[in-house]
Amino acid sequence: MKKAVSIHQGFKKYRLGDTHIDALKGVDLTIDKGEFVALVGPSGSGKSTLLNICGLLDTFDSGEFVLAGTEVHKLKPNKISLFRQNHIGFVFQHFNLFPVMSAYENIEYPLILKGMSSRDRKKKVDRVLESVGVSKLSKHMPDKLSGGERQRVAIARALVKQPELIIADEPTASLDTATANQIIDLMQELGRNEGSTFLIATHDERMTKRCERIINLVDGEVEYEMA
Amino acid sequence: MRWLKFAFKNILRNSRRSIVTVTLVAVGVAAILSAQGFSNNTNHLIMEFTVDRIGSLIVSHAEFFDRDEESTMEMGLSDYEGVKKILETDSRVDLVLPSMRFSGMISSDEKTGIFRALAVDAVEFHRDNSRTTFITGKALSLNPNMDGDPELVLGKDLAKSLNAEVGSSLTLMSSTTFGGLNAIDFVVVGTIDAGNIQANRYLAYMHIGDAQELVDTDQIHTMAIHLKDFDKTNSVYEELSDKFPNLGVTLWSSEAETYDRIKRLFGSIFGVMTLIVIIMVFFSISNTMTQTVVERTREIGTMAALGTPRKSIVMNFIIESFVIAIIGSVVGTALALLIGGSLAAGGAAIPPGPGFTAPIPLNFMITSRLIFNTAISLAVISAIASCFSARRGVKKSIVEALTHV
Repeated sequence: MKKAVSIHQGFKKYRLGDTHIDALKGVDLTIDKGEFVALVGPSGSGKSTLLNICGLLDTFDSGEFVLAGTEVHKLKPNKISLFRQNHIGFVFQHFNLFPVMSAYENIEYPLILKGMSSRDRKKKVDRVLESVGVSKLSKHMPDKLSGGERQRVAIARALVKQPELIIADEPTASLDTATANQIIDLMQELGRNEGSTFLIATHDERMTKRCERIINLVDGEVEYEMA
Repeated sequence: MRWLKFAFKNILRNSRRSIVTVTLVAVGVAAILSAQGFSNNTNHLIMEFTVDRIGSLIVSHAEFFDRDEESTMEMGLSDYEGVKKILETDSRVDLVLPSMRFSGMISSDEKTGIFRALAVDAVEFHRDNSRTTFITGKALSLNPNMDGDPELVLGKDLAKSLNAEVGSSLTLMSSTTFGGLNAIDFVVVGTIDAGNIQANRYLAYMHIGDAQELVDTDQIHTMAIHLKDFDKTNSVYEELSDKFPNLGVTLWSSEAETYDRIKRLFGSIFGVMTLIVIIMVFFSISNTMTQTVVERTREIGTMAALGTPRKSIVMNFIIESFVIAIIGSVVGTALALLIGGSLAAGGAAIPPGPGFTAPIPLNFMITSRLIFNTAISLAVISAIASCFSARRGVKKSIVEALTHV
């Protein structure tokens, strides 16, 4: 199976006042393309740090990190933003939709950044709107959508550019059970159909039960992995 | 267009703050336009007054404006009629008015004083656009009675100091071109408000022929050239300078000391005021955008996470401030035009400036160029202010921005 993510001996330290905190202590991790992986662990385990690094929002102090076949730990800072734009999608706990943009415009946004023509954008946005089941809400502004609908739009925004990796940070934490289940179903289905890899940081059992693999992080180290 | 739409929507997100900012910009724009408009109008009035008085161009002896005469008519023009005829054949020239300037003593039966003579062609008083304000009497006659006493029009304060009124006979004495003294009796036909204190105190208008007789000459000092189209002044100036290399051809602006002084004075006052307004707008926009950036920190983080280049994020805020500045400029312009129109309709005026006698009308000359320059200047200032604020916002790490509460 082709690897989507490969991390070898990833270290990360933080400075808190005069003390240094070892957030990640030599993490080794591989995720295959198309996998649906949960990242769990108690607060302070380094879960968010690892998720941020995998999303190229942060970097290791040392270690190797290969994402979609690219040694991203060697990328210069100015190339990282472009790489993220092309290869990574994000789904946030609080959806993080742009309030001045309609559902359609929110989904279209990453494609505009890629410089795609408006015709191609329309084709892709319409398709993904259909996939997440919010075609009829395309002109709605985020404040007119329910939590579940907003998360669907957010997932569509993450998926529209067909990234290799989708980073999801507690995507069901703000949703009721029924909506959370629908969102998990949707993410799994889209993952299967689109071939996208999901790395999901979560505390939500509803989510972990449905993931193919669970990576448990404790004190900055992968304690165990559970299939 | 898309980004403009988003900018507009973002502005409306905190409508109260945006209204306050737009109002501040509008007040700033109205203040700049009113001040600069008033300055423009006053400068224009003085320019018109000056050009009307001395002409767009002045032909004289080459050194006439460079030094004082050592003897009467030392720098007079002899064959001025020939030059005048040449000038009058130029289709761009409306009128050529010769004049003489000299001083002497003026006496009534009771008192003696000093006068400064301005000997002119009476046509000067009878033009359609003549701005002379008569207090009493009338202008010098176009066809004076050759048998009667020569005519004299006095500045109102000179007339008052001599207890002269229309019909009074006064004796004017001056040195002649040959160094002697000559005296002629004149009759006062009118008194004027010349617009400034010095002129009212000493000025005496008379016919050129009478002045030539008094100083015993056939010369004049200057010829004021009035053009049909003022905008052609510079081109005519260059041609005449080439055509009459032995004469002095002078632009009106070179001899408009008062105009120049007032223009510089207004320029300084309103320049400082404009600077204060610009600083006010800068800090107002900066404050607004800083608050906006802080409120939208998570949004900035999301944009960056999706791969938006930092400069594009900054550009979004610049567009927002630009929109605020443009809306403020439109409102401010409307406000300035409303204030200007109301003041003009009410005939408002401010007291005369130092040395002047006429109140200055409180009218604003707000040109489209002034509006454009003001709006663009404030838009640029707003863009700079928002750029500073937004740059601070986007410098924050994405992780920090995404967790901002």
